[in-house]
Formats: sequence, C-alpha cells, structure tokens
Amino acid sequence: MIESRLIVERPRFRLDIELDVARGEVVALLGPNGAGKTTALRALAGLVPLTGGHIRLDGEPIQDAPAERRPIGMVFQDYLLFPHLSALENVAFGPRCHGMSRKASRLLAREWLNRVGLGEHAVTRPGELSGGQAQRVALARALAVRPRLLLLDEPLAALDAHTRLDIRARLHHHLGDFDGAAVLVTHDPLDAMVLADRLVVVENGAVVQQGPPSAVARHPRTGYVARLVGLNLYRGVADGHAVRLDGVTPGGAGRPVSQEDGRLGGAFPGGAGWPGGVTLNVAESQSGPVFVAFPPSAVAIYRSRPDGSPRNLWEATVGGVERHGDSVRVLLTGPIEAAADVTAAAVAELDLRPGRRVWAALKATETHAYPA
Amino acid sequence: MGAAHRTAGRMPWVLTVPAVGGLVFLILPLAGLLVRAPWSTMGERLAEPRVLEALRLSLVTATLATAICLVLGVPLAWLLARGNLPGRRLLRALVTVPLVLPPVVGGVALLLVLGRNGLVGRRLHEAFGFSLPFTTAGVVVAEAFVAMPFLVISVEGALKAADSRFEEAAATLGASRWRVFSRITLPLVAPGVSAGAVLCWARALGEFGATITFAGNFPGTTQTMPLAVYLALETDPEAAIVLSLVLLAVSVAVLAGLRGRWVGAS
Amino acid sequence: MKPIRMASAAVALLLALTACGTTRAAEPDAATGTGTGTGGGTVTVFAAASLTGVFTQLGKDFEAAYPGTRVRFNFGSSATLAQQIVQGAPADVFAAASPATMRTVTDASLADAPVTFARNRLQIAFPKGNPARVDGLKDLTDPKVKVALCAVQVPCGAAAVKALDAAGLKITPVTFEQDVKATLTKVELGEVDAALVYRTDVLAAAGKVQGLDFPESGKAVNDYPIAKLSKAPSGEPAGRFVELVLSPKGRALLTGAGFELP
Repeated sequence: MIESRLIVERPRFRLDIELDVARGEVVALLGPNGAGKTTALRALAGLVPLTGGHIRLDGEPIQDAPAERRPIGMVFQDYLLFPHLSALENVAFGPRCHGMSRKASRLLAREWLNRVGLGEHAVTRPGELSGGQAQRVALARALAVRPRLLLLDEPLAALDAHTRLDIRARLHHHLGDFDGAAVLVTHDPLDAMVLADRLVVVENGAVVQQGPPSAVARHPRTGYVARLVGLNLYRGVADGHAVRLDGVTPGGAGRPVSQEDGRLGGAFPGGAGWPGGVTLNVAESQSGPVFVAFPPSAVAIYRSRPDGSPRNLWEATVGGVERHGDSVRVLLTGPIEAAADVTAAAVAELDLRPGRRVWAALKATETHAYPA
Repeated sequence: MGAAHRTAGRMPWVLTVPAVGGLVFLILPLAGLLVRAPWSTMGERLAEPRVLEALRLSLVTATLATAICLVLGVPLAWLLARGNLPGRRLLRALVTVPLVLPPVVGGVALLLVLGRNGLVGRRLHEAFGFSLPFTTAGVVVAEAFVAMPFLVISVEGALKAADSRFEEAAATLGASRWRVFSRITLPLVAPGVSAGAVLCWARALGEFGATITFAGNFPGTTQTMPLAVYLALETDPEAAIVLSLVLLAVSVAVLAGLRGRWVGAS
Repeated sequence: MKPIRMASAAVALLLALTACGTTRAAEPDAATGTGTGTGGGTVTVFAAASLTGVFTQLGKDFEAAYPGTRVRFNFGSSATLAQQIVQGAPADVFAAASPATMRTVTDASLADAPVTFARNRLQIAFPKGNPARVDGLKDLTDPKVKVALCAVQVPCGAAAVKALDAAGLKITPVTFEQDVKATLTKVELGEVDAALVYRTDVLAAAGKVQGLDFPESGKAVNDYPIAKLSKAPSGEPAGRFVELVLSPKGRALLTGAGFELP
C-alpha cells in the first residue's frame, strides 16, 4: 500500500531509508535517539519535505502533496489535543475539515469516543483529561478521518508504566481493527513486540535490520538491538559449530564500538585486534560471517576453573555489578565482554566485586549463531 | 529572621516604595482634575450638545479605527511572526514608526500622501471627487495610523509565543491553511489579540495631533473629545476639565468592563 | 507626548499649586528693579505667535543696545500665554494678539496700562495659483470652496467672525484650526482652497501662499496691546524693551512684517 524511499538531508545528518507497508500491516520504526525515525515519520506525514526519494500510496505519488491533502492521521507524542476545544470537538475537527457537516461530524466523533471508552468525557477539555485519556482521544481523533496511513509518534512515551500497560493493550486492539497501513515510532521494545507486525530498525539514518519482532529479537544484528532485547552479541566467522570471534563489533562492517555499545551486549572495545582470538562453540552449524548471541542468563560464573562439560570457558574480570530486576547483572571484562545474570546469593558467595578474577562458562546449546 | 516567614507571592518590601510612587505619579493628575472640576455647574455643562457630540464621535471613530487595525494588523503580525521574508527586521522597525513619530508629524505625512493633493489622494480626488481630510473617515484613518503598532506588536508577541505544533496537528487532520489560521491559531492567541485591541482602542481614543492635522477640527464631523478639550483650554479651562473627565469616565468604564480579558485568558 | 495630555496635566498641576498656595520667591520691588527671580539683565517676553519674526529681531537689537542683557521669548497662542501668566508664570512683558486676551491679564491686576502697538488685518489666503479662483469674501460662501478658519477661541478666529458678521456673510468652513500656523499649513498643502488669516501670516509664509485683501477686513482689525507686567521680576529692563517696541525702529520692523500702526 505504501511504497517509499525517504531521503532527508540536513547539515549534519542524512536519512535514507526504504519503507514499505502493506495494507493492514503495522510497522514499527525502532532506533536510538537521533536515528531519524521521527524524521521519517514526519516525512511520511508531509511535515518535513523530502530532499529526494518518493512516497507512493497505492501506486499514486504523494510526496509533493502538503500534509493537509494526504490521507493520513497522526498521533503525536504529546497528543497535541487542541486546548480550546472539547474532546468531542477535537475528534470532530478532522471530519469537519474533510467536508462533513457539523452535525454529522459530531455524531461521528461521539461514536469514536465511545469506541475508545471515553463517551462520557465528550465535553471535557484536554487540560482536564488524564494522560491515558488524552492518548485515547488523540487516537480517536486520528482515526476519525478514516486515514489510509496512520502514523504514531511514540504514542505511549508520555504515560506512566501502569497506564502504559493498559493503553498498549487498547492500542493493539484498535490497530487490529484498522484496515489501512500503520507506522509507529518507538524506542520501547515492548511496544514494538506487542504492537508491530514488522520491525524496522533505524540507526544513523539507515535501516540496519528489519523483520518480524520475534526474529529480530532472536537474531539482533546491531549492538543497539541486542541491548534492547537484552542479549550479548558478537560477530565472527563460523566454521561448523565453532565461531572465531572478530575484534570488530556488530552493527555494521568495521565500525568501532561507541562508549555505549562497549558496555552491555556490545563486543570488543575500540576495534582493538584480539591477539589469539576467542572461539565459541555454538548450537548451530554455520559457515562464513555470522552473529553470535546469548542471553546473560546463559553465563555461569565460578570462582575457580570448573571441570566438566562447558565448551565455552574463559577467565574474566568483574567489571561491575548492578541490580537487574530480581537478579544481579555482572559485567565481565576479559577476552570477551559479556553480561551475566546471577542470583544475589551467588554474588555474596563468590564475593563478586569489581576487579575480582573469575571464570565464566557458557553452554554451547544456549549460544546461537546466525548468518551476518 | 523574617525571611523564613515570607511566602512566595509577597513583594519584597523594598519594591513597595517605588510601586506606590508609580501609582501616585499616575493618579495625581487625575486627582487634580477631580478636585478642580466645576461640580456645581457640571450638570448643565454635561448637557451641552457639543459634549455628547464629541463623545459619540470619539467612541465611534476609535472603534472603527480598532476594527481596521484588527483587519490589517493581525495578518501583518502573522507575517512578522511566522513569515519567512528576507527583510523582516526592517519591516518590524517600520511598523513601529508611528510609535516614535510625533503625532502631528504623522498627520502631516498622511496629508502629503492622502490629502487632496497627496500622492495617492490626488488620484482619489480626481476619480471620485472625494478626499479624506475634513471627513470622519479621515479621523478614523489618522487614529488607525497611530494605534496600529500597538496591535501589531501585541499580536506578533502572542503568535511568537504560541506553540506552532498545534497547527501541524491540524494540518495532518486535513485543515486548509485558512482553517488552521481561523480555527486553531487565532483562538489560541485570542488573549493577545484582545490585549492588543484594547491598547489600540485606548490609543485611538486619546489621539490628538494626527487627527487635528490630517482631519481638521469641525464639531460633529471631526471634533473628537481630545480636540474639544484642547480648544476649550484656550478660553474655558473648566470646560476642558469637564470634557476630560467625561472621556476619562467612559474610557475607564470600557476598560474595566474588559478587565478579565485584557490581562490574558482567565 | 500628546499636547492635550500635557496641557491638562500642566493646568491641573498649576491649579493645584495655586489652591494650596505657593511660596513665591521674594517679590521684587518693581520700582527698584533689583531683579531677582529671572535674574538681573534677563527680560522674559511672552508674545503672540504672529510676532515671532519681529520680536526675535528686536530681541537681538535690544541685546546689542544693552550689553549684558538677555531677552528670552515665549511665543504662542495669546490665550494660552495669558492663562500661564495668570497662573504665575514668570514673565516681564506680554504682547497679545487681541485686547480680550490682554484683558485676562489686566483683570487679574497683573499688568500696567497696556498700549496698542500694532494692528493686524485679515486677508484671504489661498494656495499658489489660486486653484479655486477666489476673488473676494463672497466666494468663500460657495459650498464648493473648502475654507479653513481659526477656531473662535483663537484671536484670528474671533476676528474672522467679526469680519464675516460685518459683511453679512455666513461661511461653513471644513475645519476650525487651533492656531494660525496649522491653518496656513492646510493652505500651503492645497488641502483647502482658502483661509482667513492675518496679513502678517501670509507675508511670513514667504511665497508659499498668496494673499488677497478684502474691504470688510477693516471691520475686524485686531489691536495688539503690549504691557509690562506689574510683577515683572526683571524690573527696569522690561520697561526698556517695551520702549524699544514702541520706538521708530520697532515700528519699522512691524510695518515690514505686514502690521499696521495705530
């Protein structure tokens, strides 16, 4: 339904992505701050002009049309409900602009407010609505114009954690009913997992990975995604079940790891070559360049070198210790940097303090490799 | 120390002195008028037809001038606040010219352009046999000229402070540029527009120099209250005081009536 | 600031000061001429605006004749000046454009016997080229002719009324201007086709407007009185200035400017 190539050039930034969305599909644009995902969304909306590329809706080019003439509906991060109009008038605004009579548009607005569960708040002003209520009005307002393309800019970001759960579920339900194309920008992985049919990961103005959420989560291809889904991620060259890890980080050929990437889930610091190298045994048999990923929970820590079966074993130094939900996440430095989740009891028993030398073991069966 | 007991809203005592001083400074002349007014003859003076005539003329012309300023000034303010013109800074400076120009000079300038022999007025006269000086319309033009900057500056400020993202949201909902302006932008800056309009009206009401220079002085047609007061001052100061008090009373009544509006949306 | 506001404020303040009673500087004895207040050797002259050219020249002559003295002028509308004097403005000499405005001062016992030193006659002024083909006073009654008159409260306005009454004519002007200069400006710019102003004003406009005498003007000739003020701070020099005005030199300057002599 939507077939686009979005190129936006700014003084210090360039966005160049291809984005296709099928009818009824929900695509989530995921990425770190400054990646360009909001710019892409605004370009689809017509609020940002394209420097190049095109946007085709059912074959018809719309990149030259101004925002008011595109068949879109948009939900903004701050909702942007018109403060001088009631909830009903806000929702009726769009249909009215499209030529509907005042009476008909108000009727339609009432229907939509009922559908999002806010029927009795028709005359309330936006200033008196709670965050969750405002979000629902914003959604109703965008859907009331029967858009062919629905755009959502971090729709749940302004909500507190509790409200977010409820609203996410409702949003999922409404998106399911929506028959056009939907593009959603988020940096909350849970939003992406729950709401999207397909994930498009954008970093530095380019698409670095896309696919169904579960596939992306299982096989992250960049440090950012890995961090998002909480995996340790590395690149290497596979030969059967053995993978020789590079001194280069995932996330793009040959790019040195940033400070951020260097911590959790990233691989090696600053592109330094790895003398001797580390070889990991992995569950799958692969050949050629691969990503290797394993969850922190797959790493076991020992005070002294264990005997027995673990095929992946190395000596490491404790870099840091932090709470992580019910368990404790230990950051290990050494031949490879990795995060390991252990119980609090284990921390005490092993006396895990920064600087302590320990042994880390990883079961091959829990270490996954997939083509890069 | 007393500091611990002070609440956030109380004025530091050191400011009360200049504040009271400022108040006294502004009110003293008014007090003078009230004290020296000829209260004994007030009744018959007020009944004089020329008093009501001048008052009516003042109120009508000031209101018409404000209407003109709104129609021309709000779009101009939008242009200055949001437009992407290259010479915007210069334009903004030009708009404030009537503020710094002595009103009489403004009146002369208007004569040179719109007078019977003026650059533009000449064509008007040739085509329609009509010229603005000495007409009530001329009074409205003179008042609009001096009062417009007040409106433009107020509205420009309000537009600059307004959040333009609401306009983006409206565009995504299909609103044409006109609808965005009339349904979203304007209502959101309404307090600023009201404040500007009130300032504009008050300025127009009190205008003297440009009015008498451009439109002249003729009772019923162009003699507004300020003109009547000035001429009365020549021979009959008590009449001048009476006229001044009438104008003051009416102005205060109108402004007080708009009180809730002109200090912002309450 | 707008003149009207300043005028009202000034009047009110002056009225208030009078009501509360002012402490004046030590009243100088006029006869001794010791000259406190404005200071010895400075003469302050309040004069009608139409006397600006002549009196300024006389002031220079006075200063030349009496070295060490200074003459300060306050030119303006006679009515306003009279009011200011009554309210206590520090003037030595008052030269008014009409007996009526001088009377305001003499009624307040502030002036010694005034003397008429000049007379001013009205003229019809019209823009260069006389676009409305004005020929006499009667032409001004034509509704198609736009006429500017001085406001009745101003001496030249009062004179115009007298002249028109004497001629038995009624004019409806398009404007009553607050002073002669404003009236002339309207003529100069061609906004009006004619105006009734003083002959001296037409001459002072030096070719920017043209003037036409009319017979009925004799009925409304304005006498200009001059008087030394009884509370004159500067004493004797004030009297000497008055003498200069009445002297042959003064009279020559006055006729040169278009005044008539009594």
